[in-house]
Amino acid sequence: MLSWGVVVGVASLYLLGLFVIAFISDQRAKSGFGGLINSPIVYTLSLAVYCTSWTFYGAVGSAARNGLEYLTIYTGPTLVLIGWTLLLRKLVRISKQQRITSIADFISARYGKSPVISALVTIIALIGVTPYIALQLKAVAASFDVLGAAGGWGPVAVQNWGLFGDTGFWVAVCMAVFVILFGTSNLGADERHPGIVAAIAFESLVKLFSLGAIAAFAVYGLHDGVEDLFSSTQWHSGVQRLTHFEDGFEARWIVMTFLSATAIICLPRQFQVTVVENTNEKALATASWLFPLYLFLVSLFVIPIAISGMTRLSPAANPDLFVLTVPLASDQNGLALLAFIGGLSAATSMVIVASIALAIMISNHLVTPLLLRFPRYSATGSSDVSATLLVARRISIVAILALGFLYYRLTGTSSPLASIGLISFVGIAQFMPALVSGVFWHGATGRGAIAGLSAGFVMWCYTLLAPTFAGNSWGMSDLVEFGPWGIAILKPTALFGFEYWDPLVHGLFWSMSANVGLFVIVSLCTRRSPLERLQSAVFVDAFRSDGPNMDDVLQRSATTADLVQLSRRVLGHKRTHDLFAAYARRQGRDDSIPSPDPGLIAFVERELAGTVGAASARSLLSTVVKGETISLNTVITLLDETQQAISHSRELESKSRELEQAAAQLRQANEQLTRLDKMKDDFLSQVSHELRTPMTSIRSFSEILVSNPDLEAEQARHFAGIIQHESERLTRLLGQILELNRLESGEMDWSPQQTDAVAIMRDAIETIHGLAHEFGTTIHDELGAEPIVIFTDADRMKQVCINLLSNAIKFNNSEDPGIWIRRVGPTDAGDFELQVVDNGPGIAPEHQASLFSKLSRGWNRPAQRPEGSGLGLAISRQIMEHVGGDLVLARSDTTGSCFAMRFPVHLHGSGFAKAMVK
Amino acid sequence: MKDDRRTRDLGVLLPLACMLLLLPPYIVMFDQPVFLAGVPLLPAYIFSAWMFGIVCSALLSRRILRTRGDDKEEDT
Repeated sequence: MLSWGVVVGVASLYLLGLFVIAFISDQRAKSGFGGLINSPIVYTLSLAVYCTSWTFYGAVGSAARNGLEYLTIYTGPTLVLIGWTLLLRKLVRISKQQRITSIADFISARYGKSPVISALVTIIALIGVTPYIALQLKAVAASFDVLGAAGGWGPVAVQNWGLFGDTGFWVAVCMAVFVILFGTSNLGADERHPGIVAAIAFESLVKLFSLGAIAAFAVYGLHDGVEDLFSSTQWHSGVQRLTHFEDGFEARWIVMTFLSATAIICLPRQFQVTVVENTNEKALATASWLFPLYLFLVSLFVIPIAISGMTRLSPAANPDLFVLTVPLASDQNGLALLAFIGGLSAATSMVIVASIALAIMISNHLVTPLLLRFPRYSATGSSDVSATLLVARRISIVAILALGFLYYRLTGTSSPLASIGLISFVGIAQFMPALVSGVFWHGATGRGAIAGLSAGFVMWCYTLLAPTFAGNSWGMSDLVEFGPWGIAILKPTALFGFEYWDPLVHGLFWSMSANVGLFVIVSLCTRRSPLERLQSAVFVDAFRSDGPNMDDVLQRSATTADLVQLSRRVLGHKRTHDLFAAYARRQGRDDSIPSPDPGLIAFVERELAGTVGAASARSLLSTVVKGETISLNTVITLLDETQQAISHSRELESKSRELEQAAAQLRQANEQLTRLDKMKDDFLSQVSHELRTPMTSIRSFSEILVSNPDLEAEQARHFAGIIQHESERLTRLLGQILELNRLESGEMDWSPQQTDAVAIMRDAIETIHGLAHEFGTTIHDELGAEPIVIFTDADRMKQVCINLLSNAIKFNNSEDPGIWIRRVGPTDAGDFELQVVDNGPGIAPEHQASLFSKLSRGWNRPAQRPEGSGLGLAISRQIMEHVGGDLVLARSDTTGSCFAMRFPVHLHGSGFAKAMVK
Repeated sequence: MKDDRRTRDLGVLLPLACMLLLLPPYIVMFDQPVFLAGVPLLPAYIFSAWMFGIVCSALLSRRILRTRGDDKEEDT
């Protein structure tokens, strides 16, 4: 037997405990010992605010009435959490970057910080969530009544106790005090409330433990284990529903999974705990499995309680209260009290978070924009906004709870817990299209969002909310039964003739069709304002490492004094001072006054947005900031999605330019190869020609010798001499070809040393002396005594000199042939030349150009004169070029030719060594 | 890099797979009057599939935390 005093006493102690936990956590967080509070486990448990009294009592009721369908309320969130990398992580990242304070703030910030959208979302949330809060108060009151009925001090008496005897009223008052104390103690750096989060986490543990205890009692106290529990399947139709599906369950199953998945993101209280109160993105990783596990356990605990309630209690018992009545029926008063506390914790946690989330939304998006219309608040240098805002927030909390309480008193206790919750879910689900498209679709526009939200909200009110009032004889019953003005096709529960649909599926279908349809169509038909373009880029590309730099895009100006004054009005003196000093330090200034660059203005706007929301922060800032124009070009070049395309096409352009260059180089190389190939062919044909001449004479003379054995000895010797001479010529020619080849391929061995060019030339003259005598040529040595010291291979140099001299001798057909050897230099540049001048016939101008190429011959071959191979000059020039000098035809006319060996300045001394290395 | 990509793909595939397992028509296949150790097949299947998702998610998030632990930039 539980007396009234015990129940009230334990409940009061529990609530007091919550205050203590919240207080201690707040103090610890303030002093920087937030270790436990910031842990991922506390974060995960705070997400379990999702499990309200609707879960605690209603899930069992739903399981008893509709079978396994209740599971969808928990599998939907499981899917969202398991897929946290897809959506939740992005929401958390964006909210941190943008200092988002609520879901209304998030959606409005995405669509150009529109105050219209934030107000619209706030109103929808308020209307959608109020029934939900009422549901919690109703659950607490109902559970209190059940204990009273069992204890003999209710529930009849409760009806007479009036307002002050209503448990729901006292719970509402308690929650209002709690939320005002821990939710609005200050306008902090952000909308985080460590005390509240800790209390919520604690409450989540309590309700899980409590539900688990009752479930364990149902399995092992009332039944003989799991097998016994399910044995009733054979004869109880309610239990059978828990083991198989009824026909046509699919539509509701899918719709409810979708709804619950939406709710875990869009419910204002879920957005508050999941996104706004998140201190560390990594906590999401833990929550991604721990929170589904929590939901798993809760769902598991529901089944034995539901089965026990159905099989052990009278069929008239309210399934929504099985959690209490199952232990009570077995006289387990302690367990029943635990169940009551569990239900109380589920209800209070929801009321706390929902009211704080809604209060933030109301004060930021409804009250502040209204206040700013009054010059008292909007004018520069006017009074403190923060104090007004705190008062507004506190009044909002009281108003929300009053509204919830009013709803609960007016609608009575007619509909089951679960249906009220589901109607709320559909209302809240209207945020989904704008929210999800906002972070994935650049093209979503603010006007599209307004159209979609409004249409979905209207359809929701008409198809789902209005019929709930039908039972209260507010003139709604006629509307629901016959349609407006008796037009049956417009009946709210069977719109356009969809007669036999489940009301929930029907309502969701029409509201979502209207919402998504209008949202997409209007978005496609409207253009984004520059600010919307900017925000869409910031939201959609939140994970891009080269993300847009907002601060440079908005070219705004303001004085630091104005900014400080504005910030003080909203954030207070101390925080303003800290923030500005920190920014000044970042700018590298010695004093604590930052210079008012666009970055500072963006910084101040973000800080203000963290307190009053993006839209209000923008309008506050606009009072002190001038020239708020976004240069469209900057936006486009910096942020737009085309940015990437542009850089890609630039890359392609440079690539194709590189390719073109490579192709040109290849073409050049090809031309050179063709030329070289032709030269090779020419050379080969010339070589074979040169080889054939001596070969022919060798062959014909040897034939004569063979066919005339009786040839005179003298004649025969003469012919053999010719054969020997021609063979020598052949060998010489082949030797020279080989030498030239070696020179060209760089395989020739060189042994450079310090030597005297004059001495080499004299040596060559000595060598050629016999030949000169044979031709009757006089050699005039005009070199003088002074040496020309060079660093080179003496043998090769001598070869060049002999070649020049022998050419001058052999091809000279003058009456009185002569050769003059001269030196020229040093010139101004320090070069030397050795010249070999003859008085021969000269070289015809048409032959001069190809004189130094292979197998060319500048001279008309004089008859009866020894012939050259035509390779000598080519080899000589190769040698001279190889050592860094040059061999040129300095002059040639009918009076003779002049060949010059040039020795540039670097050849004297050590310069040659360098040339060789090259 | 390759690992990172595979982790990202798994992050997409896992919720999709769980969604398929927990929605019609797959769950309808398990609506049979069969008992596994005293537990009806349908709830047994749903809770098993659910637990499978939870375990996979735990493994995946461990992997994500590990790969991101190496990556300083993502850590901000």
